[in-house]
Amino acid sequence: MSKFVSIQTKLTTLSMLLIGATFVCLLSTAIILNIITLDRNIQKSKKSIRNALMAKGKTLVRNNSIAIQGLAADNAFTAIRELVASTVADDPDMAYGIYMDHRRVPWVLTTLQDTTNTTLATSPLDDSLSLWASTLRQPSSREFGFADSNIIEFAAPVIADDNTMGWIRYGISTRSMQHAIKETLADGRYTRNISIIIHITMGLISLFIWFLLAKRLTLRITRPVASLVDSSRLISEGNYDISVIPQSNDEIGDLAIHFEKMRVTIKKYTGHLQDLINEKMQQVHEILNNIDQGLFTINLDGSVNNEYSARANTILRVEDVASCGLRMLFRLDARQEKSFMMWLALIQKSHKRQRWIKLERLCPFRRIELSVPSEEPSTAYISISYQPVYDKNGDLLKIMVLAVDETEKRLKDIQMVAERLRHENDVKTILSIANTPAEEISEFMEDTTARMRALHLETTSLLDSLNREREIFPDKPSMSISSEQIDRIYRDLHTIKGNSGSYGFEVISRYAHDAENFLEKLREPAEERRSVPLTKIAGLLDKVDGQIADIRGKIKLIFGDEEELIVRLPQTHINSIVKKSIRLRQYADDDRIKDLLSECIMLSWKPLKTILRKYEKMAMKTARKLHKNIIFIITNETIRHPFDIVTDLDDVFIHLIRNSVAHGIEETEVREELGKGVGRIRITLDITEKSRIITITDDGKGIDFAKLAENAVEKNIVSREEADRLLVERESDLLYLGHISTSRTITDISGRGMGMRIVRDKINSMKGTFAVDSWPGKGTTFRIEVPVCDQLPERSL
Amino acid sequence: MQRTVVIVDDSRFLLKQLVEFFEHQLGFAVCATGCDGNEAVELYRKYRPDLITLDITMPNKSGNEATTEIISEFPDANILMISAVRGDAMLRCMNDGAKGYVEKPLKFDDAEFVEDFKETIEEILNDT
Repeated sequence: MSKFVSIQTKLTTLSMLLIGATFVCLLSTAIILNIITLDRNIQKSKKSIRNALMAKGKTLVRNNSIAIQGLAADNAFTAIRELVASTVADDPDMAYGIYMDHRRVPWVLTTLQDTTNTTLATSPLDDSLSLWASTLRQPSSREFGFADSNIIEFAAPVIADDNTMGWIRYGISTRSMQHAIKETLADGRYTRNISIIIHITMGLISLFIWFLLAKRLTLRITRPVASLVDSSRLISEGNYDISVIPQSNDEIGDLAIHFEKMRVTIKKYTGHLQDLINEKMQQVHEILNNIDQGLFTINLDGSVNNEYSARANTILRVEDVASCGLRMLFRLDARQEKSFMMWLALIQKSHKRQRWIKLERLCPFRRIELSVPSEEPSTAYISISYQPVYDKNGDLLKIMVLAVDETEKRLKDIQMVAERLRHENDVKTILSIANTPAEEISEFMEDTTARMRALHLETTSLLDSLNREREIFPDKPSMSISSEQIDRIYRDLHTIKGNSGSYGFEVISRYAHDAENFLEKLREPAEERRSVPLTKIAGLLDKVDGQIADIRGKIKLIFGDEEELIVRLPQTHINSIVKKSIRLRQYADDDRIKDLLSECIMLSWKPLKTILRKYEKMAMKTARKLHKNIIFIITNETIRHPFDIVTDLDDVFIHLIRNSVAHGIEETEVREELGKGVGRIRITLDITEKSRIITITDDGKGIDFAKLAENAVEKNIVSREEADRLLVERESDLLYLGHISTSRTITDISGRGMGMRIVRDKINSMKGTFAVDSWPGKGTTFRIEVPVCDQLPERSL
Repeated sequence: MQRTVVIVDDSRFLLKQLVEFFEHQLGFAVCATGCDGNEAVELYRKYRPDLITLDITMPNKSGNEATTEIISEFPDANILMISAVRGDAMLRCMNDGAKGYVEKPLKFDDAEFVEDFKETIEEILNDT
């Protein structure tokens, strides 16, 4: 904008210019008129002076020529000479006087300098002027320059009786005329200059007076304007509180009145607007405070804006997000900050032509780790995402940053990974064991256990002696450990590492490897305490022990107890031995041989757990179907029996176990309410000389005989009297009535009420006994006693 | 007119895959392939292709250096970075004038990856 010039200055300047110009015009006109008048006057004076001179000269020569007429005719030399000389002498303007005769011979030649001198020359005058004069028949005049002034020669012929006797000539100098003219000119000039000076002085005085007047006048016009300007400046600065007072009764006053109205309106409006803004900002703050995510915005120069969600402080572990720079928020070093600024530059350049998702992926800080020593865990993992915020022209305005605390998720992930690794390790271990012959695994275990024992001894004794040494010589550097000792430990560790690695027990291998690394430290000169790596090694050895115990458990799971199953033989081979032994036993007299053969026969025997496994599976399956939780317990499960010891009781087992799971054990929720925990089904098998005694016990709700009796009466199976009698005398008989069940629905598992009768009938057919004991709320026990089957086990072979 | 491309990668195997992809899936004419940054600059000068793809980690001259060199000579060059390098190096390439990037591994049997690859190329070529 051009430089500010006030209206007052402009008005004053303009009027001054106007007045000045007018003044100059007037002055110059006056001067020009003055000069013209002066000139005219001078010319007039010049003319009149000249005319006077000319008249004088002409009169003089004419009078003289008449006067000389007679004299010349009489040849009156002297008279002529006197006349001419006196004429010249009388007039100071007269330069010379001459009378020359018809031959141009001068009778008299008088000059001003020498009026008395009378030249009598005999020779005629030959100068051009004399020649001009000699031609005259009438008086005439001629001007010529002489010395420093002009001279006018007046000449007239002297005529007598029509004869030209000669010529009278007078030269009159114009000097006095010039002088007179000069004087007139000087007078005129003087007058003119005086009048110019008066004009200028008057003009300047009037200009100055006008300036003062204009200043006052313009001030009167501009003062209200200036006050309006002041008011408008205040309003433009946002101050609507100063009212505008009209200071004049003209248009400006009118403007001021309107201006004041405008101010009041704006004030009202802005007040309302401010209220609205405050309200909106309040809402924004409330929203931001309630957002459960760390939300804030950054500008394209990396600065952080004031609005942010309260959670952002918590997540980023700062007091006030807005007062922290990005550098502090994200804990960036200078290089990282530079990298972030580079990203900001890139998105400004590229956001219009590339998808945001791609640009966002380039951001160097999408995950940050904050070290927070005061918290547990001491590292917080924050994920950060960025969203562009555009203005209405589609230009990138700022970036919205969303910070999410992922620490918990990360920890869970880490735990899950650890869990997965553990499971993988388990599976690997099991596979390794399963794929390795039992003898080999057994050998490995024996070897590893022995080496571990040696290692423990070695490290414990070393640690003990180090501790003792520390007590005795607290300041002495640790004693060195002999390299033989280290080598010995190393050999054992290395063998364990190699062996476990080759069998697929990678965790042990890794622990052994780590222990080897610590062992290397013992070889170095003793700068730090040797107890440190040794303790580490001891810790690792403990871990290896844990793994070995784990493997041992798994071996047991797969191969059974070590003492039970170490060797694997083909089943046919065993069968053959058993068959032959059975046949031979009948003919053997010697007890020792009988004993041997019995043992051979027992090769085909199996642990009770294996024999009953199918019932366990069935029970578990049934329980799962009914959403019940049970455990299946077999008393003395490791005791070996002929594999078909209960084969003839198969359907009895199925019925009774199903019955216990379906009717005995309560639903999980019920058991939880009763505080009974997981349902238990226990099976025992006792073999006596004559019989097999089997009990199947559940800790469920027991049998509701009253209900059974009610059902039987309802279905017209027994009379009310009979039912009452049974309830008192032989309530268990109610179980065998058939078609009755306490279960409301018939499922594929149980509920038809036929099972018990089948069981009893079957046992009766085997000449056995069947008894039911039930305690309401506590459970039921089925007791079966059937004779030993003599034919076993050769029958099945 | 068929669009042209120069492909530069130090892995022969990936070059083969990329040539196949550009020719058959995107309908490009592959002018040439190169194995390092020096070749990239030379090939760009020679063919002035519509698109040049660069790896970042390459022998003799890195993709980043090649990008700077090509852009200083041909400011309108369309450069696509295809690299397993992430973070600052990729950011620097993009800031130095590369117009798009695709991250390795090249999962050409992953529909989403292929879609992103195509879109990235369209973004680059539509820009000019």
